[in-house]
Amino acid sequence: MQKRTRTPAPVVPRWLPSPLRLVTLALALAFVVFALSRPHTADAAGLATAPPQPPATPPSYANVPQGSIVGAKGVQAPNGGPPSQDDVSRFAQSNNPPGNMLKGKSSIIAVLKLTSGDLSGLLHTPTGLPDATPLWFVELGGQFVFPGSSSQHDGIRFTTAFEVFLADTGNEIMDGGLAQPTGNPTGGPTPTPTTNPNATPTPAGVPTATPTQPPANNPTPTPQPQHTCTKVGGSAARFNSDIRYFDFDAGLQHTVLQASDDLHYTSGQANTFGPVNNATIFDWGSGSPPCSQFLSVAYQGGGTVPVKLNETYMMRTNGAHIAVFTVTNYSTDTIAITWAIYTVS
Amino acid sequence: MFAGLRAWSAAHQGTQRRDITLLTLVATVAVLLACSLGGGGTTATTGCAKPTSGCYAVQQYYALGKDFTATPHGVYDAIDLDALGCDANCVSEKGYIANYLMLTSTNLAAPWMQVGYRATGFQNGNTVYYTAFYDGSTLAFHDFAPVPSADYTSEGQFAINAVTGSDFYVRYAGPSAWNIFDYGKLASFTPGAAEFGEILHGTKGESAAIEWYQTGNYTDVDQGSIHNAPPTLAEFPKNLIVVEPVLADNPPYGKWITIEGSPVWFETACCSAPL
Repeated sequence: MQKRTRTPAPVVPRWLPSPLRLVTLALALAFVVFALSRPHTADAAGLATAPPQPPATPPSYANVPQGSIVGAKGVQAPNGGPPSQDDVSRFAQSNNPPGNMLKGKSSIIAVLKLTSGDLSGLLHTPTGLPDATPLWFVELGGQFVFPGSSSQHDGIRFTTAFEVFLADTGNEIMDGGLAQPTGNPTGGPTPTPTTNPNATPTPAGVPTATPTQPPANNPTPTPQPQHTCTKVGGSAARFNSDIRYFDFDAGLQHTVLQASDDLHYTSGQANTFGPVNNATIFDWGSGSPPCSQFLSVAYQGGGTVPVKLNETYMMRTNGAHIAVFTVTNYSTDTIAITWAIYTVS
Repeated sequence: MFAGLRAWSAAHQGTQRRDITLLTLVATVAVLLACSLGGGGTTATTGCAKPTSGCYAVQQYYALGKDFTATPHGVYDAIDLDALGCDANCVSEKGYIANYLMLTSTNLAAPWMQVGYRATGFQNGNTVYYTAFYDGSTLAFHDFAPVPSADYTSEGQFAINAVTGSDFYVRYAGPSAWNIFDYGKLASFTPGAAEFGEILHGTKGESAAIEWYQTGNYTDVDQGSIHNAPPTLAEFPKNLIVVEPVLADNPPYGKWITIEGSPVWFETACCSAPL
């Protein structure tokens, strides 16, 4: 029997390429590199997703639960609890509204705690939350550009913007621009003031231009007892034809009179301040009243006093504080004030 | 075995060297080819070149009789829910990127209403939020809730409806939740145009996977009241008449995938061009 001999085939180790393996390996390598080079740019955020294939019809979500408005990550209080007014102010100073496309500095005009119902009335757009939900509203001044439709390619410009945060979590739920930045942001009628906002302030009820002196209509010109006045709160606020009431003790503004409100702003032909509920008001004039006058000036219940630029007013609030506030901005409709409240002992 | 291997290796030293050279050559060509096809690799390219305005990859519809057979009372899109990238650069420049559906007055002018989802540097970029925007007497952006990461790669459904003389409302739905937001009565808003696609603001660090839009559906029926339920395609049986040219700033990129039949499919991507 002839021994069948065969030429021993070379033993090709697996780690060395034969021509066939060479091609296979090259194709595999090409595939890997190709796959890695696909534009999965969300990988940069660590959130890679593959492009899905279009289904024939959309899936049905008829049975999924209805969600709630929880907002987006926003103000975080250092202690982890609800953010304070200072927390909100600090956050707003360093974080422009998320929709804003300009990176310039903005200034805070007001930080107010409002209910959802009141804020909806102010902005003329709903918040989507129950009316009683407490919210932080931040009004900002500066240059803002928000995106519009693609036909508004250069964006929509504002000089007043806002941010809204949930008071309990600090989450941001709204931002945007107010349509009439130096006038009426609510779209309501624009009243004509009876006084010239650019005129030199003319204190009412103050006999001279010496603001440290007691006003002439002070009913007790005799030496005053010594008081201690302790500031317990304060901030800035704005009024317009919709935001008309202010509760100094709580620092809250309202569009509708509340039982705790102290001040009523009336716009129109005669812009006036008036006390509401059991509060009383006094038109101090220019400058800051000394503590010695906090309990002695002639506060009036009812009636009104005219709104004047740079004028300072005093109130006995419903919460037994003395409020001192000054008009810092007076345009055709919007009235801005800075205010502080004190306990007097 | 090792002796045999050495013997074979010595006998085929020339072949081996030639094979390795060939392998290197082929691999190099493969890498170059793959990079070319892949559109530039994984690094996010430069974003919107307009630092104070947005860049768009959108489809607009605005002509009654040309795009719509009748006045639209509601528009609908199914848009992929995906992670939108906003890395440290995006956070630093407070950039953002969003995919949206918009219903506007005629000629795409304000007032308008949008619904969709966005990622912004404001929220440190790592979370995507369902949003709606409204431009009327006030321009207001609403952030509703995070899009659950478990819902990524699923289709989200978005709709905007107009009830004459009464309500405008938006809805969104995904695998985990749906919601409705009623804007109430908005003065002087007669719907007459629509737009959908991607908006980018930011020069670096914003990104989006390839997003598919099942689109082109609307209703010309005034529902008369709010439909308080997740949106469905069946509510929007009408199809847009024509496929208009894509408006794209590149980036973001946008193009039609299918333009025949119903529904049609649109695609966006940022900031590399989709294939």
